[in-house]
Amino acid sequence: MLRADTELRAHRGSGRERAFLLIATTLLAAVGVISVAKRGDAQDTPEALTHAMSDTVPSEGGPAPDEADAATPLEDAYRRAAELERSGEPSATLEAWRDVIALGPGTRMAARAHRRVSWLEERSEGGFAPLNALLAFRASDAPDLETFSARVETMPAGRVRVESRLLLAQAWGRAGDTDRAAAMYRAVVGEPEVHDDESRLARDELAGVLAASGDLGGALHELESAGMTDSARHGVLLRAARRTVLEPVAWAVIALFVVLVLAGIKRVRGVARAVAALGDPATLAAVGIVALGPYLIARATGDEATFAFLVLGGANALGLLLAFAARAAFPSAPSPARRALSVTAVLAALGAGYLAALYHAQSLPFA
Amino acid sequence: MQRTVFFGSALLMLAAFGCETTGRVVDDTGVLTDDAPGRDAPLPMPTSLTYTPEGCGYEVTSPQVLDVEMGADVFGAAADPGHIHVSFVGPSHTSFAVNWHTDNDTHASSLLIGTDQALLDAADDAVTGVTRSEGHFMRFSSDPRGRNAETVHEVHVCGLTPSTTYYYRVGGAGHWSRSIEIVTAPAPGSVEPFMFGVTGDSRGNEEDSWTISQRRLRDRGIDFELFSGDAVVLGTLQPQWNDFFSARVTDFAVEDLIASRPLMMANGNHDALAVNYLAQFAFPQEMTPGEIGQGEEWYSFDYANAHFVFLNDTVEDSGVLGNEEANWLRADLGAVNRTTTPWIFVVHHRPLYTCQSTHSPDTSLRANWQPIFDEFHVDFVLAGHNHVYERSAPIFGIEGGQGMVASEDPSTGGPRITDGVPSGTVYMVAAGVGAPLYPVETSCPTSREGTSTRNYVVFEIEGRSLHMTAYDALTDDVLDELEYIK
Repeated sequence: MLRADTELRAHRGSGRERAFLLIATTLLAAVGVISVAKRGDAQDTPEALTHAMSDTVPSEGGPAPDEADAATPLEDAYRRAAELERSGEPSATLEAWRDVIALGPGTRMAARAHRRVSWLEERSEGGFAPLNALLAFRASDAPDLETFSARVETMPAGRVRVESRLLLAQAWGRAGDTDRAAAMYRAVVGEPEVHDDESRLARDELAGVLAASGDLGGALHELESAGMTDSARHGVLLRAARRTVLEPVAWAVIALFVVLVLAGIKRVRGVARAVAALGDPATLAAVGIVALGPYLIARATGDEATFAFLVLGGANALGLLLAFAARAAFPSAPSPARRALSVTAVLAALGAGYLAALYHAQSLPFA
Repeated sequence: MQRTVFFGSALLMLAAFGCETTGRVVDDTGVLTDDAPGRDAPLPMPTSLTYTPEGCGYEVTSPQVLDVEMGADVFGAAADPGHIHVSFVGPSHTSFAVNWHTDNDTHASSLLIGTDQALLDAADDAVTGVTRSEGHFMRFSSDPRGRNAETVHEVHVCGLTPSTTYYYRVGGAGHWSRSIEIVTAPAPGSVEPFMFGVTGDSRGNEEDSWTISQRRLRDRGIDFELFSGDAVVLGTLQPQWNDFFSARVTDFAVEDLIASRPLMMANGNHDALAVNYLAQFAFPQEMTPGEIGQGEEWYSFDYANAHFVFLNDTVEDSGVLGNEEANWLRADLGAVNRTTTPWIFVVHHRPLYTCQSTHSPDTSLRANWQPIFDEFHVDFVLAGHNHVYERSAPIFGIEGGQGMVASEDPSTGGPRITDGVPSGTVYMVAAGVGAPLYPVETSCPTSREGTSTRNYVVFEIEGRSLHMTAYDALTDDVLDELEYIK
């Protein structure tokens, strides 16, 4: 995480430099306004500016364009409030935003001030002491999880405690302490002032923590008991649960095909026939379409998930090729045996495709 | 076996196209209807409308849609306006545009505006202190047969006072929306402080992160929002756009922000520049050669002392990128007065620089556009496509297809400023408020920050100083900061 440079802040705060900058930019901006006015754009003409509104809507708060560049008390108050907000002093920030509203009611800057006042007032429990603690924790380059966890337990119920617990839960998770992360997410769900979306987020993250610790069943139960079967994570966890069955099955089918081929190796008579069968243009065209068709369509409509289409198309094509070859290579085998071998070949190829897609997906995060 | 393969293929084709022959569709409520045009019915002729909104001084052209007309006080059963959102089309300090959605039988496309909210709430038409503006409505569908058509309305309001808070309502007599606050931009070149947010790739709205990011931007008090594309999974599917506009959590709906603060969009590969995208957003229209989408494919606007350029990198003919679109970009940036407009931001979808993520950097775009960014000293290029947060070192110049890292301020990692000119352009990826997260690395020579986190970014500009903060959208924790003065 990169923090703002304190020297740069000090530089910006230098009175002489700031005054010079202000004068220079004011002069330059005034030139700009004049040049814009000279362009004579229809939308900037006095006629346009006075369109209807001037007759019916009082322009009470808005400075005229040629006045907008002056350093007004309103702008100074706005800058002060923004600076206080960044430095993490909520009580003083609240007063500063109220000053902005008082100085420029109906202005654009007052609109933001109203929003910030609302936000701060919603987090004013405990005389801003909890919010101060949260902001200090956030601003710290080396946050002390133990100390802040203890501090959160002393906070009164409110928005700050909910948000602090969410933040702590994530931090404990990043620190590898899944037990404390899970406990903190559960505490968020139990908060009296938690919002629905925060509760859903906490359950979702809790499921992620449980799954990461190997408790796949517990993770699924957490989501399903809260009716969150529509969440993306539920889909991921379901696939993970299926994987525990499908992965060994895929390996078993591949192994079975290899065993069948090896067992019948002495009966191979038709290698030339197999090659001839595979060399048939119609066969190759069909296999080519199966192999590349989905991939080419995926490429034409976007470049996402193309690997999966390539793997599955390739697996299907490989299955067909193996099935053709297997049938042709064992001409003396009984017909049911040849059919079984072909089916096993197709299943083995599908298994190989599944495993390739699976291991590729596992190389991505959040698989 | 070959017969089986071909038989299977035939079955698949029948499954894919068989429903076309029935002329029956399932509407949004799940009801199967027969009244949609069947295969033998003539295809509806697309139509368009061009007019000059009162007092605006610019023309508005609708996309090619099923039906478009100027509004009239006609109301259907579901006339209440929904999906209300605003954008800039004309000068940001004196005008804005509004779009909203109703049922197909509602034609009323009017807007009331004033600075006194109580007066506006009491008004049913123009009165002293309340002005009425008229707009148009469009019936559109991505289906060439016009099935599942939707209606969207559009009004342009001009002649406003800069840096002022207004309130507006949309609809028509007896069917007005609630009153909504909107603020105009400072005058051009003004050094008045302002703030904007950046998001992208909301498709899917996983973990409610699209909605939560909008609530956080609302709470921060932004003046407008830039979106780098991929709002939905497939731009032709209107239900997904409905989800995008109407998403909500607890006490907040996305509309609470985007009806009040302009949302400026870039087309993403998933949006597909579909008619749904073109009809539901109003952006500056300056049709240039090679451009489609009534000139909204690429556009620019000014806000106070900053210039914003939106590019389309998902074009039908890739030759456009290095020719018509690049020519427009060069002309647009060349017209910017850097004395009064020191800041330039470019927004598009596919990143020129990204490190070891799902999508590789787009080196074709890099070859076509970076020399122009360099020539005009663009400050920030904001992209999405990879669902991550990334910030590059300042980059200036290309050698062997690779960007050259420019001189950096050692304390911030940002560009070094010499006589008000940055040493290079900062390329950022700020996306993933809804789409699945992707991996990312910081091992590339051009990388400075990177994290696979749902994120949103806020820029605060005060004259010639800039403060950028990237936040974790879910916890609001700070991911990255950058500050410098020109």
